Amino acid sequence: MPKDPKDRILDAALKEVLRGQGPPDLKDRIMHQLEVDDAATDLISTPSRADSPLPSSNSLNSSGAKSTRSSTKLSDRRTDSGKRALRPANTDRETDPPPSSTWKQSPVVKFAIALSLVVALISALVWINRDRPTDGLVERDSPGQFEPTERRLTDDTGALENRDRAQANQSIDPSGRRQIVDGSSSPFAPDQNASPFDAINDAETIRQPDGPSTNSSVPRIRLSDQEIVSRVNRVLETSHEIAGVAAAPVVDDETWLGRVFDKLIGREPNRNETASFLQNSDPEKRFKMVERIVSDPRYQREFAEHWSDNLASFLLDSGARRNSSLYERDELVAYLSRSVEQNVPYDELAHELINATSSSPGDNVRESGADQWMLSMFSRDSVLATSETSRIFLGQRIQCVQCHDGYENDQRNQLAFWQLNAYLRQMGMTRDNDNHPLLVDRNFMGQDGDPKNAALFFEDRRRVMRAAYPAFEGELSESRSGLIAEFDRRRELAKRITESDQFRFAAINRLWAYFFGYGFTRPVDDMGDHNPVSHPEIMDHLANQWHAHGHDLRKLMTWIVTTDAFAYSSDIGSKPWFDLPQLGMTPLFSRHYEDADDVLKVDSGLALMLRAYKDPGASVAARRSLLARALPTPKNGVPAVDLKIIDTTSLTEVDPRLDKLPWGSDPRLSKRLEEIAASSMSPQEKIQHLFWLGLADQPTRRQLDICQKMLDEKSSNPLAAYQDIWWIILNSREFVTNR
Amino acid sequence: MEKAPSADCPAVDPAQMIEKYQAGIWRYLRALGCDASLADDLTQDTFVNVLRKPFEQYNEVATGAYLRRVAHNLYVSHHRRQGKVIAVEDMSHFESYWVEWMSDDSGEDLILALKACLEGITKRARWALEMRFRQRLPRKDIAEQLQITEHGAKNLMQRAKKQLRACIEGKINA
Repeated sequence: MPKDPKDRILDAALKEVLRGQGPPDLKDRIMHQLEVDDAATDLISTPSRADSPLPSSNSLNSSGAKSTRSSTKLSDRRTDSGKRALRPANTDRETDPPPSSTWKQSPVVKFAIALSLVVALISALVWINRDRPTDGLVERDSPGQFEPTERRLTDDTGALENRDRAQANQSIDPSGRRQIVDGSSSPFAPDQNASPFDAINDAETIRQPDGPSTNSSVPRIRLSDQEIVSRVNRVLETSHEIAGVAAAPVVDDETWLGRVFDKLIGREPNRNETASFLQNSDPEKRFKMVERIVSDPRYQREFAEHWSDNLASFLLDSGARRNSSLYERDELVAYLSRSVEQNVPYDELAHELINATSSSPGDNVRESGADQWMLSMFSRDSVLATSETSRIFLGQRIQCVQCHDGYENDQRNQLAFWQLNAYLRQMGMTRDNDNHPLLVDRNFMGQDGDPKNAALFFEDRRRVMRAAYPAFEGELSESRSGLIAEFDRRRELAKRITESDQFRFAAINRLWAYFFGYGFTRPVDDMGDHNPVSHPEIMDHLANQWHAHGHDLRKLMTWIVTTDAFAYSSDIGSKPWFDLPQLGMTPLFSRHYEDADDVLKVDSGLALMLRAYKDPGASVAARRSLLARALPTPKNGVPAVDLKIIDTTSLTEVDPRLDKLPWGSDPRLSKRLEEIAASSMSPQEKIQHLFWLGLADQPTRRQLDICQKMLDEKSSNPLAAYQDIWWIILNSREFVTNR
Repeated sequence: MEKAPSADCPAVDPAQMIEKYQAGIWRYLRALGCDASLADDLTQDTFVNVLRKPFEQYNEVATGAYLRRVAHNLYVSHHRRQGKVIAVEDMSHFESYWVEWMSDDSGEDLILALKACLEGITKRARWALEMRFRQRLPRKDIAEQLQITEHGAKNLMQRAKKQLRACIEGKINA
């Protein structure tokens, strides 16, 4: 149910009264514009001035010149035409009709102008009709041109346009090898004629021998975890050999354990965990430790908290403007936390997020909160929802093609954007008795009022009005109905997205980038022909096996974290120029990229700091970890800071960058911090003040809770706690992003 | 011989017409969702579009409705020109409520009624509305300032608006 119109009128009136922003006097502006229009009309009627530039009658003129028009002049013009009926207003009135009432040219001039108009009209028709379909003015739907990147991934040459996988298979060289599609411009890129695969097991997936390939090839063979990881290792190893790069040595157990804990549950291992791991002599202990972290009940709460934060960040922290009054981040995080804890498959999660409606009492409790993501992007035209759904779940940025087709080497087009958008038009928003926003399903009646063939219209760059119906990856949906009872468009979209290979590629790319610092494309959410995948064999292999394993996120994390590459040290080695992604080269994953480590996040930073306060034994490791994330690290990963100092003082004072960084050395900021700490505001208000100051945002309930606990722990020296909170804010990824 | 203006269809003085209807059109556009500067521009466009062609007024009500219709279409076209497709709302309801509440075409009576009715709500409710509409604070901040939950803040503002609506309707219908 739309908002009550009286509420809208009341809201506008309240804005006017409370802001003191009443209607301005636009009389002078309007009269001046009318004078300009009259002058333009007179100019056309005067032959000697026909070549003079005419003032635009549609331009907004705010000069506010006084009107010299007499009231009789307009009246004369009106009475000339006699009595007229009240004309219905329509958009055609925006264009100026020819000034017939002031036509005074000679016949020769009239003929010349008429002839030039006819020539111009014919030229325009020729230009427009060169691409026009024969069925009328409005271009009806034709298959879009979104090309799924999976074509390139199975393409042996990297340039094949035909989607027939049989042809792709035939281009495999006799040794059974396929090529690396390497987008790197480096002169030292791997030889593109060699293949890292020893042998492709074509039995791994079902191929269509004839006809076009399908997007939903079902893996026939489900490999074991070790086999999956082993294959990834072989691919990378071979690529290193080809590139002439020696992989960095594997780190010791303690370093590896810290890295795994940090990435999987967002903290350092405690003394007992470390000691227990170091003492374990099982050769499979690393693999088993990862399995334990992702599945043991002892770690479930931390795992769920950490990954609900990460997933919420993937979903919400894109920089897109969201209406903060429509959604509650904490509710979304809670939904994600429950889902992670119950190991909901990722395709099911995506389905719930895309197809969400606000839950009612008695609905599935776990799914409560899934609506917050769509609510955060809600608008009647669902434009933001379209671009975000594509970016997050398909790894394709399409917001630009809303207004125009993609450029050279870019297969995305405007029609495909609006075809995707057409799926998301059955959403509405209403409010409950407490004025909470509720996401509801709503029939889409079509912009031409035909709900059975509910089209939406958009204008392309040629200013041709075109119609779009739901279509995904170039394939039109079976139904065009906008009635939910007949065709639930969002459900259909969720199904098609989660069944597509691109859905798996997008997730794998993002997770790989999370663990390694770099994904298979840069950026991770802009995949396509214009940005090819660096390691298509790994991507394809992981996608197939993840599909076979039911889109289990924990499985995917386990495979990534137990690869050899994840255990490499950050030693550059003797040939540093082969693997320097920070300089724009394709990452070869021959070493640990310490420079791309996940920057400190507010949530995890605060949690780590609180842990340091509570557990003196963990204090050193926690502070070291925090500093390591914020500071550029030497190749051993140990910050060059005196441990003794960081045991007893706050981070703000020991940050060695303070002399170089503006905020650290600015005495006004540190004085301001002391003033805030000493003020009469409540602790909660002080914390909020710091968050507003640093991040221009409120702390979440969880952040507030942790900060409060930090203050409780530092009750004898609260200033130190405020300094640590402030340090974390200033060094967080959120601060960098907001700046 | 020129037809003399009749009492039924008086000739329109554009300046007078603008003075009479501009405030109402501006407020109408604001209620549709325009920000202040867009409302300024579209108000100008409305009158320019109507007055650049011969126009005769049947009665004030019809003129007001006609101007609002033009304004609404310009609002839709504005969004379309931005390259965005917006769903066209069913405006019949909006128009009928607008007419019901606007006893005069300028909307001044509504504003005066609102100002009077604001005196009748509690100070706390008034403060909440000020934070919401003048300071444009999000609900969380309003709740913090009032030291209540967010739901409480929502309820407070919702009740205040209901009270204002009832008060305004009482004054308008009196």
